[in-house]
Amino acid sequence: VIPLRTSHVVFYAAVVTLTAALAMGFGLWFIDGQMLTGNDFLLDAESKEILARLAQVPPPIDAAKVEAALREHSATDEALFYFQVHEPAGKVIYHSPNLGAEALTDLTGGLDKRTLDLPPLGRLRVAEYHTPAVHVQIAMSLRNFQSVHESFVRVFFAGVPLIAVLSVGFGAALRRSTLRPVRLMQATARRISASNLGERILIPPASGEMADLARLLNEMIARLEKSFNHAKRFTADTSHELMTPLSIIRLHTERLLNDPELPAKFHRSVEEQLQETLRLAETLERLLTLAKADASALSLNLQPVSTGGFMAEFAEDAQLLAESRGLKTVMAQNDDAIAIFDQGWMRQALFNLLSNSLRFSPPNGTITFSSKWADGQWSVEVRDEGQGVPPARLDDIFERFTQITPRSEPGSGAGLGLAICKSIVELHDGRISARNRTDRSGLIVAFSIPLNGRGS
Amino acid sequence: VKILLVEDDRKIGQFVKNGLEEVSYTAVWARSRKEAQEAAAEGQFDVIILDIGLPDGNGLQLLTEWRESNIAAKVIILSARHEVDDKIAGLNLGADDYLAKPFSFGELLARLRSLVRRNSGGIKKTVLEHRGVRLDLLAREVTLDGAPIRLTQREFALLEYFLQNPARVLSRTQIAERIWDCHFDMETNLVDVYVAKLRGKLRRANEAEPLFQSVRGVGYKFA
Repeated sequence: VIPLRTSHVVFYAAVVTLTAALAMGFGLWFIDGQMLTGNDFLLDAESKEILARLAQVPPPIDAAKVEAALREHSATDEALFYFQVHEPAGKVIYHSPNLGAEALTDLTGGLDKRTLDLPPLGRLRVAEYHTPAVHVQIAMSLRNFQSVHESFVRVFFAGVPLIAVLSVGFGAALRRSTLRPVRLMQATARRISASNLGERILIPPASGEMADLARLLNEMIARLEKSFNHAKRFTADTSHELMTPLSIIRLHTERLLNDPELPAKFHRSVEEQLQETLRLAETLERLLTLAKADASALSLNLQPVSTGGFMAEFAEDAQLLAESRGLKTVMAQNDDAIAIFDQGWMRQALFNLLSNSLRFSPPNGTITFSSKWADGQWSVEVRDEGQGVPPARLDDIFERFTQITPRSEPGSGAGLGLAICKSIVELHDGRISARNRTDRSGLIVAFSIPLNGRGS
Repeated sequence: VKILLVEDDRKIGQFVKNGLEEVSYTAVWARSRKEAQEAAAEGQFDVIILDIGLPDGNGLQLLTEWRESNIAAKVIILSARHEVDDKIAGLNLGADDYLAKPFSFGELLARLRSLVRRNSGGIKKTVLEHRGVRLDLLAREVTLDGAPIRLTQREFALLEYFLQNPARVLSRTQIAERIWDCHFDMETNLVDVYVAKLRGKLRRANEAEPLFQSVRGVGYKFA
């Protein structure tokens, strides 16, 4: 994302700098043109006066007469102009004293203005005017013109980099101020989760696309909040309304059980009653968890976790649980990577998978775990040596209240364990699936979640 | 020990109040948020048992008010799990413990006792000892009658918890919360398996009774 934004600034700066350079280049061309036109205009004006004076010289024209006609004039205009008069054939009959030994080039074809370099005098602008008797050349020094031109070029070469630097800075500042609302939106959107849906994106003060976008997002969050709150209120109310009577049943049943006066023949019934009460509460608990998960109203405490350590801890517990039932566990592979997930819920999912495998394992069976890191996914597999599941029912086992075995088996739950696993994995943007083993009988349940966690 | 019971349900309230009085605790029962506010303002309590769903307000609001006015009583939240969005939320607001409905009275009592005991203070010891079992927190060593015993991390943590609460009942949920940081069902008898394992490692040849006695319906006790 960052390179794109930076490239915007670079593009902006390049455009500004190029525009400025073009404008200045055009300015230079225009000023040069204007100054030359001005010069040429002065030359034309001067020529009128010279030609008028020469017109008064009686023919035949010679050097002395021309000098007499022009000396006084050329002395007054010496600071600005150089003069030279020659016969049409090319012989110079007069040149102004300031020209010294230098001769102005005869402009072939005449009547043209031209710029030429005459080393001791520098760059000159020369114009030539013809009368039937003489050709007159008038020249002006371009020293002033050149110094203006050069200082303009200096400004150009100092100014363009300066503009480039300034426009980068200005562009970055502009970017920051333009992107500020976007960044605020990002920060809020990132912060918002099931647990703080009350937050809203700050609407940028200026109206426009950004404000519209912020408003749109806020409306969406509000809708989400409403449905989340609904799910939360439903689960809270259900919880309160059902757990309170269950509490009363439990309290009284336990009291009966602890009462020495309870006749021995009722003991078993009351005990059964207590067990069923607890099982009912547990089932209710799981159903409410699923209801919350369905509405994405379950808050996840997402943290970076080392999968190696997490699985090693789980394997230790699993081994003990398996041993207590005469089973074995094997950790076939345990890659170490950092994944982002809610440890509590993920542990719950693993225990549910384990408890499923424990239930279906034959005596002396082995339960095998593997935890792999591949293609940006953290994949966990739990395989048992039980009967497996009929292929047609492989997808059903993650549905609620699915029972593959008779319900009466102790500790069989209500068929919600794998459904909860599925919800937990899906809340982490992961996937869960089951397949039968091909090497022998048994079931493999596998889930994977993206290593960099939810939403990325 | 003086206890304020905030519970709107008549049957639960009556049951708990009677039960507490049977074990010689003084119990004041408030049935609404208003009554609870008045009772807390009048008397000094060691522990407040607080139900979340009250007819005239949320128990968590009461908790916030009390913590803001520096009421010293320990607070144990009593609620259905999905009533408090998260158990953590209650604990963050300043509750000392949390018990989910449907609860067992034995467990409530066990938790009350450990809260009251925590209340009386005590220096954090680095060596815990009870009935010949010695646990050194710094060296992370355990001995039984002087003979070293090797324990896994989980077993060590479990023994430490028992030694911190000698002769006190620890419920399965309490143990699961403390050792696995789990506040939901694990669909397994993990706690029982660990206690059995620990029992096996700390068994004396000539001893008939295990070190950790199971307490019916609640959990275990290091007698």
